[in-house]
Amino acid sequence: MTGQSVQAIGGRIVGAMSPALWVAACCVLVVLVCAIGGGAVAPGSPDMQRLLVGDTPPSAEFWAGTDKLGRDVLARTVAGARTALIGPTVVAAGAFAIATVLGLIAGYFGGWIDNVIMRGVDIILALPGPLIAIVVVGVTGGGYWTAVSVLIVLFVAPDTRIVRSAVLVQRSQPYIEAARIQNIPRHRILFVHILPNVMPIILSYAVLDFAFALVNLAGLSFLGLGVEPGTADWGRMLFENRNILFTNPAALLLPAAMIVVTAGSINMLGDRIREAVAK
Amino acid sequence: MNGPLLSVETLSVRTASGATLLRDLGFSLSRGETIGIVGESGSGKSIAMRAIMGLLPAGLEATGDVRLGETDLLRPGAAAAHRGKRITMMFQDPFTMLNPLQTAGDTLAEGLHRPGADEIARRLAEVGIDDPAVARRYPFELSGGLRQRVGLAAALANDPEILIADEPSTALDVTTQAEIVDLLARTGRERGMGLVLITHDLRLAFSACDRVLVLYAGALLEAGGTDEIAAQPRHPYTLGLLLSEPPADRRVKELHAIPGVVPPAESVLGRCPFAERCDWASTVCRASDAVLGSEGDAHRSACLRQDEIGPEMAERRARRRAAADAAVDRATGAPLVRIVGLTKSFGAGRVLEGINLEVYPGECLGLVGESGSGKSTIARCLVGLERADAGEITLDGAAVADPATGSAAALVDFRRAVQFVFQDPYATLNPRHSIRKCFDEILRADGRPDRDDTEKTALLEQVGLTPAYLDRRPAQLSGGERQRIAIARALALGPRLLICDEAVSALDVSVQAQILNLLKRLARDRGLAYLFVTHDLAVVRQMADRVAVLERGRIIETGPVDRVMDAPAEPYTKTLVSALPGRSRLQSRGDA
Repeated sequence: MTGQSVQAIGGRIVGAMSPALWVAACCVLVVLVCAIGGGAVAPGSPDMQRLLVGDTPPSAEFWAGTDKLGRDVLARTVAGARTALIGPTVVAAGAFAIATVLGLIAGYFGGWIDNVIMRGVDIILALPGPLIAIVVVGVTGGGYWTAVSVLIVLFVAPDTRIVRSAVLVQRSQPYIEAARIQNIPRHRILFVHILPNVMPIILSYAVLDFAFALVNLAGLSFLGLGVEPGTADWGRMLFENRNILFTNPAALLLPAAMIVVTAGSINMLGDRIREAVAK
Repeated sequence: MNGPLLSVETLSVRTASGATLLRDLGFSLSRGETIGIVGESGSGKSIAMRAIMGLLPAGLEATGDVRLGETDLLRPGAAAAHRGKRITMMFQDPFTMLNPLQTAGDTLAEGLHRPGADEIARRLAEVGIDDPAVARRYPFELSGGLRQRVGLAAALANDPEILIADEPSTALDVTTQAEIVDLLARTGRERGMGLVLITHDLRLAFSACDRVLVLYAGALLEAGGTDEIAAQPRHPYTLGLLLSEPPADRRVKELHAIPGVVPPAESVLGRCPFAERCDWASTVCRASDAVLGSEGDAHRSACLRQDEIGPEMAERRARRRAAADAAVDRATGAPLVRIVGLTKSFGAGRVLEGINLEVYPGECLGLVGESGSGKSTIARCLVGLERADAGEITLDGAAVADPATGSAAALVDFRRAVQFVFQDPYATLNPRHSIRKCFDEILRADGRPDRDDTEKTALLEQVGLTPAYLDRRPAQLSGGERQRIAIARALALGPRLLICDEAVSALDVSVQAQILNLLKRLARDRGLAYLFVTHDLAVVRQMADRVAVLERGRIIETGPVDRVMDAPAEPYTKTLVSALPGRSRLQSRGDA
């Protein structure tokens, strides 16, 4: 997997994609448009309450019906795409930024530095992740960004392992040994020779991190530990609308479907990217 | 049974997009016969055998007529039905061929009709394994040679009519190589089996085969009985291959190198595939197709001008045979680098035991040994890629505290004087960096930024490349070009000693000769000293002034190359020298 150009990998990702992958790519694109467009794409205001109307099933005016407070479920689902994408993006980027630095150091230098970093990683991995997230976010009073931070810390551990093993593979490559013999300074070997060659692996795993983070953040929001009450958020909507399942099933099923479809699609694309990189 | 076991006619292999990889190969194989299919990488020899076995990678398509007795093997599913039963294959790498979780006995039992301890013992004995305990061992407990024998026994389990052996000895040590090839040829004869030996090594094919087919760029160029081809090759490519093999019994001034590289088969359709690299090529060679459709009974060559140039070819060969050169003893004065008492262990295993070595200015010291002897470890300890446990290294008489543990400054200075060329030219260059970037980085790190490319151009010129190469990336270079770049890069710091760790063993013979000639020229022009680490005694004969023989971490014999190779003092050295592929048979036969 050494030294493939980004173009070559890109070619393998797009080349001969199955119909299922095209569907997945389209789903991700739709969610992306919703997240960027926000209110402009939504069919109406996601926050306007119509208390007199209240909980109604899908109709011509509100395609997915309204929730208990009379808010437009479809508009809220569209608006919810934003928190669904921002948090996981920050988690994946943050976790891999830290993991890349730690993994490079641990993998390249080895010895006691490697030991210190990797035993720290082992400790985090030994903890039951979701439980820790619930406890920490619950004790600190919750909030979206607290949840994001906790997930970053939890995700750094497995990601560091991935980066470190990729660095170990590169480190023993003759061209790295050649660079060492050629008196190339250490920082250049790390950042100019090793990092670009492990980057494709990092990126493909970061996509998978994103999908995990999406599900985890939705779960925390469902437990009331994520976003502020009132925010349009898929996990939060599951929590708020669980009591009206029989009067307006769409209020619950639509955000639930969005979580499953988005996470599933991104997982499929991530697998595809990983296969393309591994070739 | 009458008629040939296997008959192949007009076998071609193309990619899905229609590019030709192999065209119109034809040959036949009879009972008890051994044929050699010889070619460099890109010749199509392995693709041809995979097509016959029905093992082509997805996307490649074979056409033509391949018959195993009465069966058409190219019919879908036909090859799979007979594969492993009537026709079977043995691969190069004895380390990946066997299931690591199965004992040798289990591996064998899988293929046998009546598996039993006696039968397994009998089968192992057939391949020269007399110790029944081997049946209970796992692959990792066996040496490379033993693994290849077990692999052969497993391939023979179904009593196949045909065995195809793809470079069966290439991954083995010299002493084992000869044994395995002899064993294959003998087993083939005794069983009346048809044997196809695929190899890049013409001399190896001569030593074991009844007939030889020479493939080049996907086409058959010459075919005939071993004795005829060995006595008088009739295609310039065959002659070139024969002459590029470094002779093991004497030193020549300059090796014969075929310029250039093997072209893709697709690019040489409609003309002689070898025309671009041939000294005798004329307009007719570039204008009309010159490949052999099939092998006939007699010795045949595809060369269009063979009648005209025959005498010239014979003369060139005779001239080569006469040209000899004497090694010079340069081991005088103060040594450039001296190693004293170098010791190194990996875990519990002692790899080096008190190595003492000197390399004198301008001399080439050959370091010879089989795999596991520790020769690469010495080289790697020298430049600090491994840390020695004990010992001292001096440069110009001044101690370089063990380079690995010494201060960074000492190492940096040491590496200005001592540089390294690796074996695998495909892995030693960062695939993402252009040659310009690669050279610039080294020069800048050395405090000599080269803004107008003069330094970089000079480096390329020294290794015979044009400045156009500066903007290429490793993927755009052939193996030989990459090794030239690797040498140029090593020269960038102006070293006085170049350590070559199997620097030519991954290259095709014709390219290997180019690189060896280049290294010789650099030694002459720059007074460069070499530590030439290799398993190949023929290469050592050409390059080294002195030789040190390494056996299991100890240097057992050191001396001038002619003395060590012609009159070895130690029994182990004698074994090494006498194991050179097909040495005894070739002396009288075809050695260029």
